[in-house]
Amino acid sequence: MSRRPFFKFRLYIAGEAPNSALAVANLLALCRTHLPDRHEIDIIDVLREPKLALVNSIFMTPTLIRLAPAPVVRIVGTLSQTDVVLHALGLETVAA
Amino acid sequence: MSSAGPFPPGDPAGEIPRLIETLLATERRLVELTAGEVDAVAGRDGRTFLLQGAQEQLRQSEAAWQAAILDALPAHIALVDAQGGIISVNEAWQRFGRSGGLISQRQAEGVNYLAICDGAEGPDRNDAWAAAAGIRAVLAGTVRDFSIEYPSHSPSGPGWFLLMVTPLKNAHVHGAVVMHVDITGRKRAEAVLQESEKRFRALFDQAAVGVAQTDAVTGRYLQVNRHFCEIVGRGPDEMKRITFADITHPQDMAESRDVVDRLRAGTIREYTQEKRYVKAGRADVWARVTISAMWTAGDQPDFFIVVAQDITQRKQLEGQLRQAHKMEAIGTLAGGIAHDFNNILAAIGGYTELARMKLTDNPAVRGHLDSVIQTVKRAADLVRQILAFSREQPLDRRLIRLQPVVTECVAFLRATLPASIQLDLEVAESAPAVLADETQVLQVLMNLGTNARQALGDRPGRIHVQVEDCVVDEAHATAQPRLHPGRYACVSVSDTGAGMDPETLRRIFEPFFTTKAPGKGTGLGLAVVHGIMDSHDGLITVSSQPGEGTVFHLYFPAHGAEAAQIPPVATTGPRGHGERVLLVDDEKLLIELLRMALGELGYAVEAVTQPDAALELVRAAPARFALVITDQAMPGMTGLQLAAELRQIRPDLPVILMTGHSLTITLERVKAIGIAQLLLKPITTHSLGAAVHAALSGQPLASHVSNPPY
Repeated sequence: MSRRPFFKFRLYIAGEAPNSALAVANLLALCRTHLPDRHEIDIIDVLREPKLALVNSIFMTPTLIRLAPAPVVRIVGTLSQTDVVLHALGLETVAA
Repeated sequence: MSSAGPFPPGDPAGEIPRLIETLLATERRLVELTAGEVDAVAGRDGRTFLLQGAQEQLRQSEAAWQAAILDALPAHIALVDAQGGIISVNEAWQRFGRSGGLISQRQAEGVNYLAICDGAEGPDRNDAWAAAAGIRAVLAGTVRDFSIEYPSHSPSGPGWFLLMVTPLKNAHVHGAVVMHVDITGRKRAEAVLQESEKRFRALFDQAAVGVAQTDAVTGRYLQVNRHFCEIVGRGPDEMKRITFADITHPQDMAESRDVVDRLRAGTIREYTQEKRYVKAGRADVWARVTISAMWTAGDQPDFFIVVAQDITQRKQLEGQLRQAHKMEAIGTLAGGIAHDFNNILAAIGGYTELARMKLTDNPAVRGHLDSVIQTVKRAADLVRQILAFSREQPLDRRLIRLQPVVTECVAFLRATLPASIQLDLEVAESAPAVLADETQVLQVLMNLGTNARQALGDRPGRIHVQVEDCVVDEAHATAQPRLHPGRYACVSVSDTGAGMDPETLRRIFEPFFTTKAPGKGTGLGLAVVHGIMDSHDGLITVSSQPGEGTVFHLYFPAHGAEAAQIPPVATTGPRGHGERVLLVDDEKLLIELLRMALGELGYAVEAVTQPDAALELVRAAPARFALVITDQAMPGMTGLQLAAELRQIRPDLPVILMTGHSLTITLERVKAIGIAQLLLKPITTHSLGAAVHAALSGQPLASHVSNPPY
C-alpha cells in the first residue's frame, strides 16, 4: 500500500477548444478509474494565463505534465488512446 | 478600393497573398503533425495561435453564451449601431415582435430602430418620439443613459413598459443596448395601492371619530384626521409639531404616561381611557380614547393608533345629574330636619304667645316674650327657607304673568341700591303666562338681586334684569337634561360684578355653601332659589367668569292659558262661639297648646292622641262635633286616612289637616278626600283661627301659614 505513489498532474488547455475539452474529460476519467484518491490535477488555460505556459515551455495545447512521481512526463494531445497514455504514465502494470 | 492596383501601397510586389498562403500551409501542416489533437500552439514569446478548429469552436461557444444570457432575460433587448440600425435582438424581442408589437418583422436585424420610432402613429406616438430622442442623445454621448416609462397599446393588451438605453462603447460610443422591460404588473400594483391609499385616506379623513397615528418612541403625532383636530382644537400642522403630552390635561398625565410605557413594553396591546385634552384657549375637552400599539418586528412597537371620541357633553350631563342627585339627597335630609324643628318651633312660639296673652301686668316680661316671638319668627323664616330649598314648602301656584312681579321686585330693589349701581329692566310683553307661586318668585328675584348687589360690592356697576319670551329647541334641551323643548318665560339677572371661578360655580346651589364671611350669610339663598325653580318645574342656569360678571337664567315653563288674576283671600282675626272641635294629634305637647289656643279663640275642645279614638268618638255621636283638626303624621293612621274614614261616617264634617311637611299629593287630591283646610306648621293663634273660621264657614280649601303674625 505504501508503495502506491501519489500522482500530480498539470494540464494545459486552450479554453473550451474541442481537443482541450476532450483532454480534460479523458484525464478525469483516467484518474477516476486508475488513481482514485491519489491524484491532483491543476488545469491551466493558456488563453487566460499565457505566461504560465511560457514558464513551462508549453508550445502546444493540450499538454499534460506528470509532475509526480518523478520523472516529469509530458504528453501532448487529447489523451484519447488510453493504453498509450497509461503506458506513458507508467500505470499499465498497476492496472493489470 | 485604391485605383493604384489590387495590392495595398506598402506591398506593391504582392507579397501579402503569398504570406497568407504560407500561413495557411503552416497551419495545415501543424494540424497534420499533431494528428489534429492540438488546439493551439505558442511561440517562444508566449503568443498563442489558435488552430482552425479551435478558433471556430471558441467563436461559436462565446456567441452561444452571450445569446443564452440575452435570451434568458425577460426584457426585450436589441443592440443598435451608431445609426440606430438593429444589429441583434434577443429571444424576448423576437417573441414580442411576433406577437405584433413594436417591431412587426420576425427578423428585426437590419431595421433602423430610430426610423421605426420616428414613424410611430397613434396614441403612443409622443412616447415613441421621446424614446427616439433619448436613444439619439445616448448615441451622441450627450447623456450617459436614458430611460422612460410609457403605456403600450399593443394588440396583446394595454400595458406599461420601461425603456432603458445604455451605450455600447470602448473609446467612443458605437452603438447602444435598447431594452424594454414590461412593468405592467408593477404599474397595476401601484394603481391598486393608490386606489387603496385613496380609499383609506377618505375613510381616515371622513371618520366620525378622531384618529391619530403617533410615534411610539417620541410620542409625536405623525398623522391626524380632521375630526381629531376638531376634538383637540388644533390644526394639522400644529399637531405634527407636538406630542400627546403637550395636550394631555395635567390630571390625566400620569395615567396616559403609564399607558404609553406599558404599550411600549408590550405588557398591553390596547387601552381605553376617558381623559381630558387641553384645548387651546378654550375649555378642556373630555374624550374617550383607545390607544393601540402596532407591532411588526423588534422589541418596540412601530407606532400607536389613537382613536378618540368627544364625550364632553356626556361628561357635563353626568356632572349635572350627579349634582341633581346630591341636591335631592340634601333636600330630603334638610326637609326631614325642618319638619321636626317646625314642631319644636310651634311649641315654643305657641306657648310664648299664650304666656304673653295671659300676662297683662308685667311689661318687662312681655318685652322678653316679644323677643322670644321675634326669635321664633327668624327661626321659622330659616325653616321656611330650608323647606323651600327642599321643595317641602307648600306651593300656591297660580296662573300669573311674570312681567308685573318682576317689575315690582325691580322697583323694590332699586330703592335699596346705592346710586353707583345702575339697575336696568327689560320686559318682553310677549313672555307667556306661567303657573307660579308669586311669593316664591319674588323670593327668587330678591335673592338673585341681593347676590348681584353683593357681587358688585362698593364698585360702580350694573344689574340687568330681563324678562324674555324664550323657545327652547331640541339642541338646547339636549344640553340641559332638565329643560324640555318648548316655550318658556325666561327671567335673567346679570351683573357686572366680580364673577366666579369654575370651582365656586359648581357649588353655588349647594345649601350652606357660601363665599361670605362666617355669620354674614346662611349659604341658603341660591339653594332656596334652586329648590323653588325645581318645584316650579323650571330651571336655573348660571354662567360666570372671574372678572366678567355673572348671569342667571330662570326658565319658567309657559302655561297654555292666559294669565288670570285671582284675588288673595283676605284674612281677619275671626273668633269662635263655642263650637265643639275634636283635636287629634299624637304629640301631647301640641295638643295642650292647641287646646289652649282654641279655647282662647272661643271654641270648645276635645282632644285625643289616637286616630282610632277619634273615629270611635265621631261614630258614637256623629253630630257632636262641628269640626275635626288632625295632624297628618301619626303612628298607625295618617291624617288623610283618618279624614277619609270620617267622611264615611259623616260626609259633611269639616276636617282641618295640620302638617309640617308639604304634602306629597296635590291639593286636588286633598280636596277630594274631604279636607276642608290645610294648616301648616308652625301654627300660630292667627293661622289656627283663620283655618278654623274658614273651615266652619265653608270657604274654599286653602293653606294657612304662620307668616302674617310673625
